Amino acid sequence: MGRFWRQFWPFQAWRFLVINTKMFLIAKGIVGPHHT
Amino acid sequence: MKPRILILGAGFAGHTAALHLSTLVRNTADVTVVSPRNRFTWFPSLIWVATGTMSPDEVHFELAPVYEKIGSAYVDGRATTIKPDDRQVLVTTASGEERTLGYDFLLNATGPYLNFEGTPGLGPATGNTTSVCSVEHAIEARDKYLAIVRDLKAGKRRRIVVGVGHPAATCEGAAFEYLMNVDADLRARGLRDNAELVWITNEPEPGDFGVDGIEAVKRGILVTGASLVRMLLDESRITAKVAAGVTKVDPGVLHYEQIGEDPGTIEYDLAMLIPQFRGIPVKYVAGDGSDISEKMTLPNGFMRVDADYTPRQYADYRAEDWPATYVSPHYDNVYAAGIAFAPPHPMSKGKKASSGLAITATPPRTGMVSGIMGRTVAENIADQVAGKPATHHARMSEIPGACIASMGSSIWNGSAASIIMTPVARDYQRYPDRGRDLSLCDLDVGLAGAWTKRALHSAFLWKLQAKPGWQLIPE
Repeated sequence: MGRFWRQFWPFQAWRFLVINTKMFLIAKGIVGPHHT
Repeated sequence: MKPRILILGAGFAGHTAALHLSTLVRNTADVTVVSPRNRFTWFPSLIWVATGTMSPDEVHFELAPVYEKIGSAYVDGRATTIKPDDRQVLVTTASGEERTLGYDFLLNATGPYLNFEGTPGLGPATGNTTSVCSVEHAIEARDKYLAIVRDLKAGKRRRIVVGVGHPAATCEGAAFEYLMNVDADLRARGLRDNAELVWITNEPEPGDFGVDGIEAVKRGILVTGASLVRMLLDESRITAKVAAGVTKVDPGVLHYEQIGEDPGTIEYDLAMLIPQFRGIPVKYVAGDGSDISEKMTLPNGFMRVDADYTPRQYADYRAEDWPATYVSPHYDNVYAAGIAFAPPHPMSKGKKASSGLAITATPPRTGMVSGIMGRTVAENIADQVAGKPATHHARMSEIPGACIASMGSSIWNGSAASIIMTPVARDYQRYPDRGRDLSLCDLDVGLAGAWTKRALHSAFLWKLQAKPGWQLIPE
């Protein structure tokens, strides 16, 4: 990804939502293989 | 009498276990936490303290009020001896008093001993380098860094070396964050042209981070940590010494050995190097008074748990080598989690320099994975308190890991690498291609990461202070 997209805030806002949703779902064990 | 649960250490693993036990066994067991540090430190933000972009007060909080709120006891002290047969721990309190604490279930979450002595000349106290491994170290690192900034403003050229200070060190990710934050801070100050930055790491290749690398599929293309870190180093004009083990640090000159190269030296004006981690020096004593430390721990001082410690080469590493429940193989009421447990082997490829010196990145067990281990041990102890077997498991070869590697703290023009890997330790039986589920891996660089890093700082400090709704925030 180029430097422009790394700082283009509308795209970064979308990435923020995607990454945080993904992290939350994986960490909560809602998706992924791990369930303690 | 209620069962007594004793937690040694109040870092990510110990404190997370205490939080979960406060709900799991609220009325059925007594929980006591022993820690020589009366504050919890949010270590991921220390890199910002060490560049002067965050106040030290923003990264830690008092533990005692939190334990009072969740109904746990707190002892400000350091464990010196564990007597597993007698179910006792000897503790030296902050006031110098010797106390004997009994337990029915014990969690050793004492974290690392920062082994600065492992490399001559390393460390902030008696050596020649700075560190970001504690608040005090980060403050000293900040002051020395700001002195360099003053020199740069005066037009002098300065060389800053950042990395790990031992051939078997861990936490390369934290060192890399500091490097990139120094780079971003110097750019923001308009001083980058007068500064030379050098990255020195024991990783077999850039972007390994002690977890045998990271990767994700982006628009159908496999992106690796190695390609990403090489790009970032090139963009920032940072010189890299990879697969290198620092062997000695003289004032102004550090010595290293490197795989496939002759030993070398680097002159520096400021060096921030993470030390090797060892187990906290605690003595283990049997019921007959004999020292059983060798039985309970590996030579590096970390506690043996239910891992398979058979020596293996990289190609023979197995997912099931990693511990599942973190219980001692000798005592079913003694656990170790976080940095305190002994990993069965590295995750990364280890190699030897021409002198025979082994240069290997040790696997990180911090942050999210420590929290997951702490919660898992809490769930197992709660089951045992209820008379049930301990069945909760969290092998590093099955749990996910997430990390936000800051590369500039500003929420306006900062940046960070957002990394998700599932699982942390590769499992080639389950995922034959790359040992990980690539649909559950991510690797992204940009402003979104800077926002995420800030958001996680606030969210986790909220959770770890047991503020309302803390249970909703995952480890």
